[in-house]
Amino acid sequence: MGAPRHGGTRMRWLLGAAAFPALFLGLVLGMAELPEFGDPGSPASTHVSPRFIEDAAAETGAANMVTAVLADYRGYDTLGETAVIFAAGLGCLVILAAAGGRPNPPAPGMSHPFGSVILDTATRILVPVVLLFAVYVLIHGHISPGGGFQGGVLFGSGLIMMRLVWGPAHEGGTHRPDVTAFGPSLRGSLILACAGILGYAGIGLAAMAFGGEFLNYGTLPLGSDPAHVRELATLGIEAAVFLTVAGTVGVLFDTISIGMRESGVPLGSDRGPRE
Amino acid sequence: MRDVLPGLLVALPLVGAALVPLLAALFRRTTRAAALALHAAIFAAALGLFWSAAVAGPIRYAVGGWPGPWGIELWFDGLSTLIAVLVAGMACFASFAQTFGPDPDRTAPGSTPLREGLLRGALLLLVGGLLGIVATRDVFNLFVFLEISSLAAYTLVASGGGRSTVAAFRYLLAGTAAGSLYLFGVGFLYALTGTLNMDDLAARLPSVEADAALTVAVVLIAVGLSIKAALFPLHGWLPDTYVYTPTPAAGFIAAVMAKVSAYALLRLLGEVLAGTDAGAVVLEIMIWLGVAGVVAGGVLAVAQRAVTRMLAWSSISAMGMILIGVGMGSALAITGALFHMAAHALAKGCLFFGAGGIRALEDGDEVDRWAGLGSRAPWTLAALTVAGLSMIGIPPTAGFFSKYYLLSASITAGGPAGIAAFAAIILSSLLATVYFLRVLEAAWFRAPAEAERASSAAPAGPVLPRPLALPVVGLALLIVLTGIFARPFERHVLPDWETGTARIAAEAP
Repeated sequence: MGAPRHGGTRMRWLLGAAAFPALFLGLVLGMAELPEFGDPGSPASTHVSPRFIEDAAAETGAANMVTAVLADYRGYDTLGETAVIFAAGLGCLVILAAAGGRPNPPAPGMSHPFGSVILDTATRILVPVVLLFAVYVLIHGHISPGGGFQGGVLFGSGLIMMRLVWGPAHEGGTHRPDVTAFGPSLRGSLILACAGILGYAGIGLAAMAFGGEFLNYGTLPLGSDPAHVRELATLGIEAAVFLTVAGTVGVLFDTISIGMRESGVPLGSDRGPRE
Repeated sequence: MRDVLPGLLVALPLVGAALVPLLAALFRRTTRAAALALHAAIFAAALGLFWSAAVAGPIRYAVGGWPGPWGIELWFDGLSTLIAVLVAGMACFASFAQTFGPDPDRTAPGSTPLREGLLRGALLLLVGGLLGIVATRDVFNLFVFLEISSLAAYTLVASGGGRSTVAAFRYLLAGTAAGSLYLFGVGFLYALTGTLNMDDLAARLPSVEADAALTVAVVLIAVGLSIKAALFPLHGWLPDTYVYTPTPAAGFIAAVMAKVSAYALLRLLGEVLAGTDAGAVVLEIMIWLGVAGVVAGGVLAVAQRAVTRMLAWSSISAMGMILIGVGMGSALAITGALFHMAAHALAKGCLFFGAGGIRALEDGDEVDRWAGLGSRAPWTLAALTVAGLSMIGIPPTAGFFSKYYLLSASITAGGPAGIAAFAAIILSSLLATVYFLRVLEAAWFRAPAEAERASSAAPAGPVLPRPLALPVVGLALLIVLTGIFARPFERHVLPDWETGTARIAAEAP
């Protein structure tokens, strides 16, 4: 940190030790004055919320008002949150996988396929269900809890399950000659993640092309009923979020488990299958 | 134009951040041209907004077509567009510097077009985050973009490998704590007022009766943003981060990153929360901490042997000066703070590009390494000298005018705080003279060490490669131009600040 490297250490410890009780005390004191949790008369419940509760369905076409706020009223925040997830994937790629083109030492157990007939069969049955359920959660996000973030994570976990059992997917199949690779390679995951951000921002820019503000889906020429148009566009941006999240989960798993070689193509481990 | 530019300004960097890595992944070729074109387009949008706000008044932009407080609004006045121009302009230089080598400082072998694309994507993402903070009129949206900019910055800092990874991790710890504190504060404000929109907040705060909760909210927000702005004594993350960040990114991060957080402090504490009792006290404390930071940063800069570390400590001194201006809050002080943001960003960007390049090519960071550089590369060194003079505050450069405004504001403010600020700024200029002249003396008047001369097939000619030399010289020219055009700047930015605070004061019941 600074020049007074040793003299300042004790001081810093004391300051650090004092900061936490101070923060705790402050939060407790402040919380005591806040409105009761769930108080219908509190400012949080009376100022902006009534419009969300009463008009969201009519204005945005979203039956689930949480979706209406996330994807429409405050869709710009959600674009930002998607970018945060994308940033995490990008950061992992730069720091872990591509550090000077040196391969990471393979993490034992993650970069090698393992398993048996039982695990293999179970995965074959489970993975399609997981992936399908992910898409269901995405599409059903309008009228029930769910949406792009949750669906994307589910989809990503399906990909991880395949990679754990059959080894990482790369351009040329898995380590198991009898299993045809399904799912994107590391490069493919990165492309998915990028495509999601581009899709989300692209829908926003398309709205600008038709004369609206950025992300004002109502101006898109998708029909005559604005609420319905907004509903369709919301599905579009949820799908974009889905792509980014699923892609980023794939990127995170692959960068942590296998790393990346000079050519920029993930190659998995040097050794062949351990049969 | 006014209908389109705000959306483009915030959308383009995010589009670019995904597009550039995508192109790199698809085609496996260099993405230099695409990235430079995107940065140029963003800069053009920022300039257009600056011009538009100056000519036709501030722009309020409802993203998604939902007006505040239900939706998220952007706000472009003289202040925000000025910082936007600064961020987007520095990003153009940084993007150009990234052609210095896809891999920073050429220390890591085997870089690939994909890695280059990822780093360019990270820079665009950082620009997007910073512009989002600058543009927004919504306190939660500010947090979202604070996170984007932080994550992108950690990536760029860590991309050097080795020590820079450790520096990035420490930055990450400090930044995460800062973000959490800010978010706590926003949570309190929302519970108290039911709104996240800054204008709406300012209007509803006077009727809030919960004093303790409001105080906690103000303090949390102030501490959180002060960590990001490296206000003394919350600056611990800064020196290592600036020193170990790869050069192309260091020139950008050192120039604008902390300043955007200082701008957020100015917006929130100086404008939105200024009417609260706690806000006034916090601003007063900020002046004193700024004074302490100005002095401590200067003294520790003198104590450093490595040039980049000296520059990092001098940044802490400069951030102290900016926050003194924010704390005083008078129109003159705000002008000084904003002008110092601009002047210091130009000078520090110039110096970090230059010092980082020299560190990489001379294989060392000590002042002695600069010996004799003046005769080898007179133009580059002349540019770095201009930046150094601006940091000291010699008249034709931008640095003189920012210190002039801040000193005038200190005299006008009076009182113990004003006197302390006045003395600290004068002292910091003297200290800056000491530490910059030491480097410049070595560069211009000292011959390289004997051993150096013997061993060196020391190449005559430029010491910096073109991707770094061009930003260095360009920024030096801008420093002088900014100094010359200081008066028009003052006339443009000040009225917006005064009408802005007056409007909020008028809306308060």
